[in-house]
Amino acid sequence: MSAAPFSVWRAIGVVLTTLLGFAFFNALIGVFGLSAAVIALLLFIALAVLIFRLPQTERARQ
Amino acid sequence: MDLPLFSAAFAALAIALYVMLDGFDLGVGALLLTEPDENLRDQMIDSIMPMWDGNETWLVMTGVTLLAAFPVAYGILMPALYLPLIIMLLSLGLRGVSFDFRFQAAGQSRRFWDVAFSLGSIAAASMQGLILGGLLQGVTITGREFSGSVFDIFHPFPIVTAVAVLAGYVVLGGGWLHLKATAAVRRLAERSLRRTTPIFVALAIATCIAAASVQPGVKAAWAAHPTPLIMIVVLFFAVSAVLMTAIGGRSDIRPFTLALLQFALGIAGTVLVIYPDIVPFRLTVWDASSARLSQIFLLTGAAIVTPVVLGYSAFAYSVFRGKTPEKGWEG
Amino acid sequence: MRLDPEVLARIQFAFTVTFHIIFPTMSIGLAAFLVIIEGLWLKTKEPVYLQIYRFWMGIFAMGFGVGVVTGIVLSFEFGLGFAKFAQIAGPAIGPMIGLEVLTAFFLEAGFLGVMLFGLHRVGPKLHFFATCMVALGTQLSASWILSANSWMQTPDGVAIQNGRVVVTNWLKVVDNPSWLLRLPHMLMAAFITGSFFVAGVGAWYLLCGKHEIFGRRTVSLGIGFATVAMACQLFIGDLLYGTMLHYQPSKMQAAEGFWEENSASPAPYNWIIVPDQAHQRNRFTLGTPVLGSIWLTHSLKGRVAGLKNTPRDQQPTMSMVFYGFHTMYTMAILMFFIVVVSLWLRLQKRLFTTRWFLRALVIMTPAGFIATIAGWYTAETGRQPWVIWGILRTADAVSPVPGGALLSTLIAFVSIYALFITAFLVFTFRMIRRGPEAAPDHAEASGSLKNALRTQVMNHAGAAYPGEGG
Repeated sequence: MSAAPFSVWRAIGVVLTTLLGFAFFNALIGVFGLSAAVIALLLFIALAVLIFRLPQTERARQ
Repeated sequence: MDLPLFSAAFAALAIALYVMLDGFDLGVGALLLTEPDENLRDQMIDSIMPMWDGNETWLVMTGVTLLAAFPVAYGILMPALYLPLIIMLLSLGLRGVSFDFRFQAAGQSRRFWDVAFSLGSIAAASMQGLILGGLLQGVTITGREFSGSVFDIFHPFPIVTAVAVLAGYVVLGGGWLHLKATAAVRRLAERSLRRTTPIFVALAIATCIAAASVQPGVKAAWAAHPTPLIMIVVLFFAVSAVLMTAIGGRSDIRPFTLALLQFALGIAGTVLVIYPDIVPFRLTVWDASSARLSQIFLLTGAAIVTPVVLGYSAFAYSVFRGKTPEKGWEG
Repeated sequence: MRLDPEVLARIQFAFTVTFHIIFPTMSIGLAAFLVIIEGLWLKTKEPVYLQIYRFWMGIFAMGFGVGVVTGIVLSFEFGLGFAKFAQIAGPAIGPMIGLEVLTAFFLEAGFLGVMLFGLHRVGPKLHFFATCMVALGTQLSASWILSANSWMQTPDGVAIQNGRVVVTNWLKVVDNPSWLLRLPHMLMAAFITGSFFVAGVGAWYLLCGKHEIFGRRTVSLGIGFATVAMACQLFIGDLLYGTMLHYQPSKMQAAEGFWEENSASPAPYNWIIVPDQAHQRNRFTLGTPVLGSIWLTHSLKGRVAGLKNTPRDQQPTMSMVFYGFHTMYTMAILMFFIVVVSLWLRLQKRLFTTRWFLRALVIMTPAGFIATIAGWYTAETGRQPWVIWGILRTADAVSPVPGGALLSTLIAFVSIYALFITAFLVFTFRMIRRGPEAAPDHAEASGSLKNALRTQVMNHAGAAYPGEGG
């Protein structure tokens, strides 16, 4: 766990991420049909690439 | 177009290349433990390290060509040669991993891998010789299936050929080191060549004579075309004599090329004796072959790709040509 | 004591092929990774990339060697254990494997020497080309062997004449119904395996507080590739599932653990079962309600077909297929979860400092290996009792070799392979503990092709070969 105190925003973020992850998972394995799966794949990759390209200005551990 | 003959020719090419190429690196491996200095052993292994994998791949090519073009032969020969093949495969495995593992190890541990490397090389070479002997001796078949015992191959004749092939590989290995090595290892190569060449020649002749008495098919082959076979024997002697004089001479590469020539002659002689059989003295290439389309697919691929393979393999050899650096590949 | 040759031949092949698959999977994944790393180094000249390249090249080299020698065993083992299979299937799979040797094995072998030992002998562009050729070789190899195996699963393009397989259409043999899905599935599996391996080691360094830059870069790259690859893999996996449902229904029936012709509606998703094949039922099941219908029929009420739809003498063993598939699937869920979390953490700029996540990455280092092996178990045990689906049964394919010979060689294989894997793991852990060494302080010689072909023996005291003692 990082040292930050409990934060409502972070909790919301965690829940949202989990739900989104679950939604993507099901879409990718075709629960909502083939076209939804394709769209989910492209969307997910686009999201990943976008996040990957953010400048990584993470500070080292104290 | 006689497809089975073309496929057989490709299989013969594959095994010839295998024997001549992996022959020298197995030979180097067999010689490894005659060198007590670890640094010098490093040099010996460095000389074969970049090429062993490509060399060994011709063995797979041979086996797979049999599977593709002569599945009946493959299905007979694999069970017939079961024990020597498995020992060979495990030995080649032990040798193959020792290349990398010995580098990681130090001290006692490295010596363990050197022993594994050498024993693996010797065992693999011997098994290949044993297989040659077993094939010439003849396997027992009923119809299209192997019906003998897996222990049939452990008879005196194959044991003679086992030692003969091992000796031949040691000559090849000595020739390779004569070419690639400097100083102490070069002297080791010269000593080895002087001792093992006569042994190899003697065993090769013994094999020829024994083969004729053990296998009536061999005798028949001699009777059918004596001239080319006698010529091969004479040439073999001549090449061996020249090899002896070339040891330690000005030309680094001459002993090696002459050793290759010895093997080429031996292979030619063997092919001549078993032609046109694929399971020697049991099944002809036409009896054992697969249907047309299978051979066409393989041969077309082979015709197109083999020259490319030979091309970049030659390139790979040329990148590492010249003497093997004494301090290793990293400089 | 009667030793059944069929059982022993199967155990022997299963053992040698399971052992083997670990290494090419790693080789395919790491080779592709090394191409990207060397490309990044050439482009950016950042020393960390050369450091990463040299470190992972050492592990790659060891794994590649073990893969080669255990692979040679397999090319002969078709005949050694299953001579009848070889005689019958040879005309179809033989030429394919022949082309694999010609186009892939020689390519890898030819350029591997240059890649591993030629860093000081050829210019950087030529060396990069060698790395690319090795990676290409591993992928071509996968293509051909997947085609051969897929032909065994969904045979096409042949006719049976006098008990022999005769090829009638090569395009259909190579491009058989399942090949074009199973190939990308395997390639993705390899990329995922390599990615988690790389990320796990990087995470270990970050946890130990060593090699910070190396650790961050490899975690970032590793988990980044894993993210894209996992999404693709889920997509491909589902398409493949649908295909296999059509061509090998018994395999998927066994994989999901249902027995009845039609399950209840809605169907649960089974996580744990204790199957009783003799009585065609499960003694125990544990599942999530409704999820079975959702995942397996893409509807809320669909019924799932059970194994009783297949005649008993054509049924695979449910326990093996079920647990093979579920191991793979569970790993997939875990891995996907990890990559989603990684996106979240990266967004929060906490990717390299969230210790529980780094620990999870370390634990997940072998995840890809486990999933890949489990997947192959599903494929192969699910195909039983056939060795060539619908054409030849495994029981009819065995070699005329006595059980005693099979048993003693099995023992020999297990012993020697145990030595291989122990040494591999010991040395890999040792290399990881030692860590990446400092990047060399000089740039590599740049040269034209002509220069490259001139032998250069550089006798300066350069960086040690990665992993060389001391």
